[in-house]
Amino acid sequence: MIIKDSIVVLTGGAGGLGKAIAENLIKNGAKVMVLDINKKALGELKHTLPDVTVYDCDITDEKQISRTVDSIIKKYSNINILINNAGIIHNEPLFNLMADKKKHSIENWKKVLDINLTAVFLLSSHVVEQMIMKRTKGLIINISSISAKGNEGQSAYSAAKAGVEAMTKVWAKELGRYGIRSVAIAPGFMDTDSTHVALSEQILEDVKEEILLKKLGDPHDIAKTITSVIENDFINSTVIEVDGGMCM
Amino acid sequence: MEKVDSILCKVFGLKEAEMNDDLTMKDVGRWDSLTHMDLITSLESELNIEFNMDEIMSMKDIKSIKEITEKKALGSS
Repeated sequence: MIIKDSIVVLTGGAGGLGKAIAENLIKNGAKVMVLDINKKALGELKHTLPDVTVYDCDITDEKQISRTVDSIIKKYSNINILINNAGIIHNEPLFNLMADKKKHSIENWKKVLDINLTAVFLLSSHVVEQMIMKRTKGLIINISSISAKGNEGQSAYSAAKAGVEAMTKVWAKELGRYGIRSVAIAPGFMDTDSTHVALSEQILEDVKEEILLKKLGDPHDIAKTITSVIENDFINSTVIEVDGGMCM
Repeated sequence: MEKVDSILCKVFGLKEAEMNDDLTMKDVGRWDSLTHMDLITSLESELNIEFNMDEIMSMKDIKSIKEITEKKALGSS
């Protein structure tokens, strides 16, 4: 698949990782549609990357997804690549002995699964419909996480990402016959704002010790992995871990 | 079109004697939306043709599959 002139839908493109992905794709000549719920960040992104097309879209809302996909198809008539990158990190133990509310909040559980798993499912179904009906040999890239293997304090996040990886393989099995590939990329600990918000600096120092390369990853490392996945038509139904050599 | 019959039997797991033009998806255990697409890719690859989505979705029984495929194959030659 050639990146130049490909129509790429990227969720969460206004965040740290998403922005690096969008930047790299634009540099390679893709037409990038960024969906994000953060209007301010979308405005800032548009200012930094004027060639990107931004859509204010809550990807947990199927009506907004449908409207946005229809709008993209009306303008570009096709979607070649979908990158499900949007997500939130959430840390909460299943049982917190020291908190007033000791059990993991069901509201937080639902919120994390809605954004990190259900949204991926919803948007992919809408985009795949377009790919199939137009007989587009497309590509879905799902951004998972090494936490999919089970990270302490991340019941909801790990469950969601494990679900994303399972869906990646299901879709590869279902969609290969249509010429559509499905691949997951599992970043390790990346040097992004959301990582620094989720984890204290002390914890991050401990994390770096567990990484063989003793440093956090750069979002551009993920962007480069995405480029390779797009260009290599034989990468399919796999989870590519980009973690500096960290075993979880 | 012997080749089409052979592909149909192979993809849908039918014996030659079981084939008849009236068979639809609900009559054939192995015929679902995924194997329908497997049939399409086999027909396209073996006969060097390409169907559009309207044609693919119109193939609701063995008869329509054969008719659409024959028309396509003749149109391509």
